[in-house]
Amino acid sequence: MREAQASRLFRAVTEIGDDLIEEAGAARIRKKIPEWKRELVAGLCLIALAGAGVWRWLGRLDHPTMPEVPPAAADGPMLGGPDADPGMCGPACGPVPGGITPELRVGGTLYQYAGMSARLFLDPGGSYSLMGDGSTYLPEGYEPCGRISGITTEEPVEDFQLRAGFEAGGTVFASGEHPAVVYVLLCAEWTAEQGSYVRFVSDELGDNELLSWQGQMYRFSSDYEACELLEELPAGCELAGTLRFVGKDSVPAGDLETNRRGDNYAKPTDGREVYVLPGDSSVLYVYEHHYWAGGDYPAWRACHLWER
Amino acid sequence: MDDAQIVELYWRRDEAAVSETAEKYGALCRSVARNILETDEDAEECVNDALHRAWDAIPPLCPERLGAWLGKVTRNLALNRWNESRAQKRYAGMAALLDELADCVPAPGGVEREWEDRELSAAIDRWLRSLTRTDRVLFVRRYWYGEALRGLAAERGASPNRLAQKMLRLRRSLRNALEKEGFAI
Repeated sequence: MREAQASRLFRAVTEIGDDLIEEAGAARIRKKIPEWKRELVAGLCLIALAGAGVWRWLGRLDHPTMPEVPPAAADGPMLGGPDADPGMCGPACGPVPGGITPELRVGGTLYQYAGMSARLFLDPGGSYSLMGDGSTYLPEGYEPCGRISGITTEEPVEDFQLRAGFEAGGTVFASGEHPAVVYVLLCAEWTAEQGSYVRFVSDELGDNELLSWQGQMYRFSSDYEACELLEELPAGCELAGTLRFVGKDSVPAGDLETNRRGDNYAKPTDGREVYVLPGDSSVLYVYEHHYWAGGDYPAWRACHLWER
Repeated sequence: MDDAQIVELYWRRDEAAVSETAEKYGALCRSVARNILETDEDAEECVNDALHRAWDAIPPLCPERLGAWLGKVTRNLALNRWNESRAQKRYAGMAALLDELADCVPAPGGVEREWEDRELSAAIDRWLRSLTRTDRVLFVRRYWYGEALRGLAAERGASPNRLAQKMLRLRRSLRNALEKEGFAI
């Protein structure tokens, strides 16, 4: 029965848009380009970039006041009223232009790029869904604390210096309540015209989904390698309590606090039962209901001590 | 020769259309068929059938993207052949694809209504377009072109296990999307 259903899906996949088939086909062909050709093109690009850099440098000699970065846009609207959900990294933390993962130094702390901001809401089905264009969303409690001062391709050493492979400017927002995360209303060629809110996280959080208990931190992730899924709770496990979601931008600290909002089905983690085996606090087991074509079943996510 | 020129040959009933098509898209169709059937002989027969179908269908058809259209014909022919041969032998590659796609089958219950296969295709198409380009290409390469996970993982510099988890998340995302649209297969 299941095979027949999957077979029907297989046929349905056959009839997707021709442009999608061609798009993937082009990716297949690109992989067949010989290594020497790719290296030659890369070399030519480097020469062209170096030439452009020299030209700009010469330009700056003639015009020493020419700014390194385009002027930043005006501060964007502060959105997110008292009822808004805290922001969350957007669904598409895809590659940014320039081939360098952006880093930003603020107040002496180094923050790493963690994607576009996103605003979520709980839909009638009880799952979190994305609300509109998240790039205009700044969570409550964040205040402007400075502006991007310059771009570097090395690790930033000065406050408000941005490491990136593209030109950009923008305003940096910080929160005393959530020091592990800062937001930037970033203005670059690839952002919205009025700027887009992007999220940066410090090493303290490392953009990990975490769960705290009795002074220890556990990895609480949908990654099956990091947190395996069990269909049976180990014998002898006892209920430790229920989870409390403290916000995506928070570092969990109290017992059974988590900064992970939703599970693989985008269902809230708040209120989930957590179990532990007495005498072994290296693993916590978080309840997670799973679904498949044949029905649904209970499962437990094994959360191990987090090694930073 | 571009697609428009090849289609023009079909319309003029010039048999060079078939050889031009085979030269341009034979390898693609063979690859698609082989990923489903896994034997060269059956895949070759599928490709020949697809070329005959093209000759019969064009005109009146005038495919804008000949390669994609031919690939679809080949896939359907390969699936028909797989269904016919299933009692006799099992193609491991196709079995793996179907096993994985079974994850996308929405749970029963909820909104129940009849729907045509093309509506399901349209829903899958909409879901694909909601993905990032990287994820979309990955899904199509795995489940349309039938490329092996190991090869896709090696290309991305990832372990097959990690890519398998990525594919699992994508399949579940598709299932959620189909459930939200009220599909019940």
